[in-house]
Amino acid sequence: MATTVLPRPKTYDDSFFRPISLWLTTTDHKLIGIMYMVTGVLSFVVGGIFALVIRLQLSQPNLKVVDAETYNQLISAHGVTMIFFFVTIFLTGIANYMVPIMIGARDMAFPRVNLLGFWLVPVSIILYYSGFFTGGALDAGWTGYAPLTEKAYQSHSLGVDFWAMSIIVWAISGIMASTNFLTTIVALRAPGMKLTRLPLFVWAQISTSILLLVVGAPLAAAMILIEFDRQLGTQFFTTQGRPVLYQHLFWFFGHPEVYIMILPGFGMISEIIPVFARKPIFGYMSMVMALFGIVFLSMTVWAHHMFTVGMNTYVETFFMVMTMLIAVPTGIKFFNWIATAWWGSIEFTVPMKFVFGFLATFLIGGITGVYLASVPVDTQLHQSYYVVAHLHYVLFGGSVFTIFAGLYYWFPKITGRTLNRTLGEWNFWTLFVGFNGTFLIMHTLGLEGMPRRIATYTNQAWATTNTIITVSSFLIAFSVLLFLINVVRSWQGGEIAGNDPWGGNTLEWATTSPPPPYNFERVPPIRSFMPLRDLREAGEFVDPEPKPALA
Amino acid sequence: MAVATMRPEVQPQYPAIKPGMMGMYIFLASEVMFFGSLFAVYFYLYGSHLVWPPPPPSATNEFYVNWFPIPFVNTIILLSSGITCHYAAEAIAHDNRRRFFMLQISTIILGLAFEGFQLYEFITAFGRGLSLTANTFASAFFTLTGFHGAHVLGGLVLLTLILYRASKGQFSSKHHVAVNAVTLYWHFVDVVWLFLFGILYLGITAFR
Ligand code: HEM
Ligand SMILES: [Cu+2]
Repeated sequence: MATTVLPRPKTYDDSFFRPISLWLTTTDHKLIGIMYMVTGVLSFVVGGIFALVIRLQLSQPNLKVVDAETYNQLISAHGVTMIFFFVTIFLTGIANYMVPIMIGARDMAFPRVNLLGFWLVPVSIILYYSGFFTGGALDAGWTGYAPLTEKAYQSHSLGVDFWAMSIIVWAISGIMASTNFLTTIVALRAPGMKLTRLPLFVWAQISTSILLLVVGAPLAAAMILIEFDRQLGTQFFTTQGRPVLYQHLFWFFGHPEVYIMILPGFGMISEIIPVFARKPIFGYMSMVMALFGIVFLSMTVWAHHMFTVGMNTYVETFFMVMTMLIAVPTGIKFFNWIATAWWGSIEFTVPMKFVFGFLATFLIGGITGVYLASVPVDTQLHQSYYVVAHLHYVLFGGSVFTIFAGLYYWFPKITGRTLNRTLGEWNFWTLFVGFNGTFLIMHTLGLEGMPRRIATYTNQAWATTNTIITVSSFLIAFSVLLFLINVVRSWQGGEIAGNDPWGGNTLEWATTSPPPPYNFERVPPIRSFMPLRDLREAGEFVDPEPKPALA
Repeated sequence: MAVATMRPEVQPQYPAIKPGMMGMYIFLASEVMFFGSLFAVYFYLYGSHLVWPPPPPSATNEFYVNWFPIPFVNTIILLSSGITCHYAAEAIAHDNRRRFFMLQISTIILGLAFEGFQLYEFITAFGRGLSLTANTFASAFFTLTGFHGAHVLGGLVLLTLILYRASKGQFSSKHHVAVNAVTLYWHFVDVVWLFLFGILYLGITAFR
């Protein structure tokens, strides 16, 4: 019987200090993936700094840390940076790194398109921030509602134009990446990697790519029409045109975008729980079906962001029902995760802690989402801090916690070294406490009627709550600082991880850490969606330097 | 026991369809969504106006672009270019290079003719005050036809590239994914025009 013998891990110290020209021109999906991820983390830091300024401003009533104009630019830049330049970009990066390896391919289907798609991201980021140096960046929120972005209301700077161009470039880059992912996954699978044996992370990436492929172009269209309105004098979203039309176009992208930011995270959770609970995922097929249910439903719910613009009651009811339906496939996934962990011999490693952190917070976010989906409730809560609380529970407690989980899980594969565990624990607990301290009481503020996107407020009754929020937000910042220190320290001198530090199920653990440029010297036989576990149980998997799981 | 060799394995190609072709199909899905959203914008504007298209500023009957003659001729031109393009790809698949060059060049000429007529039509329209800024219909009309024209232009660039590569002898009956992919793109641009012709020209000036 053929036994898979892995080559010895090499010493990695030189691997990441490559000449800059190599980084600029590489078509290796792993290096491109790392560049995506680094771009994402840098954006996270920048967006976080914006958030801290916002929180300082709101920590007490009637403060004037920045003026109202700047404040509006800051909240817009915070939203755009986090959504477009951090979460989406980071997730594209980790998929870029992992998807080809997980399906046993050498690289993406179109490596040069991959390179171009990546380099459009810095272009997009630079375009957006150019607004700050040309009289003021976008100041209408990350959603950029017309007619606030129209010439009649915003003519003093080029910020809106830079934003629109930035988002167009971003959408093109996203469409390139999605095309590439889908082609790669369909065409370049290793022998034996049938569709029904794809790891769930790969399925999640298929769903994400379909979504971005479908909604990327409408987003670009919305931005193009805004530019036409502003520069060519067309009348799409002007007051003679139809401003609400902009909201339809934007949210047709905007709602699927929130799933673009969470589905890869769902995929990671579905990979990590089985490894650390030492059990196969519960209900593989239902997980895949749920993903596609979400993909379909998420394109039919966009107007739940527009319940207060005055739509027909029947239309509102339709969107309300569809929105609530989304909780069904999401719930299926949730119960499957719990069923996977149930009775498992769980190892509470750092990635697993982040997984549980995710489960707890995402649950709250999902529930508040269903409240908001109800038209009468949303009429009260729309544009209040309740929405801010909801979106951070799903996006921060959801997407960002999965990103941390994924990073702690795959860092050893990417760099060959494990992230420091003690710092990781501190990172998790400070983040968890800081996160809940910041966002939990925002629900109450929202219920009491504090509006979002205001530069300051006068109500003394909200003072204490806001102070608590601001203090907690600095705890988050501290946590992120710990994380950055951990990454830098461990990347240079962390513990050597070995090929398979966790006892993984999927193919990426069957090659060296980091993998060679061509990923596999020999792709191991694939007999199920957990090829490595099969080999290990059949005694056919030999790791020359076995590492006990770092429990 | 098989010990791993140092040579990476050759990638298997799963389905019969080549990645290049599949990439084009997938990319076109986003193009469909792009034109789809512009059409959606058009119909939203249509549905939210009492009079559509909005009455012209002066009482001229010939304010909006008539479906005949230029748009009609353009439809025939573009459809024929679809046919020549199809048979060009067919020709290279049978290694019939002479035929390929003839048909490919006619496709490009037809495409250029389309662009020329379209440009002429735009200029005359601007002349009588029908421009992007005239009203909501005009905004949508020029945006839709303009983006279509830009896509034709993009197609022409691709077709020329293919012609150039073919002249370097880079395509054969075994290797011509790029030719097929560009042909597919050209057909897509054709189909979009049919919708435009039906909705923006026939729908406005013929059946009204
Ligand atoms: C059970 C699933 C969910 C439901 C029923 C739901 C429902 C809603 C509703 C009705 C709103 C509009 C509130 C308003 O503006 O008045 C909203 C806002 C929002 N949701 Fe969700 N949601 C769900 C999951 C998610 C997920 C998974 C994410 C992201 C990962 C997300 C991110 C957001 C964001 C960012 C906003 C605010 C957008 C803005 O106005 O800036 N939601 N959600
Ligand atoms: Cu939504």
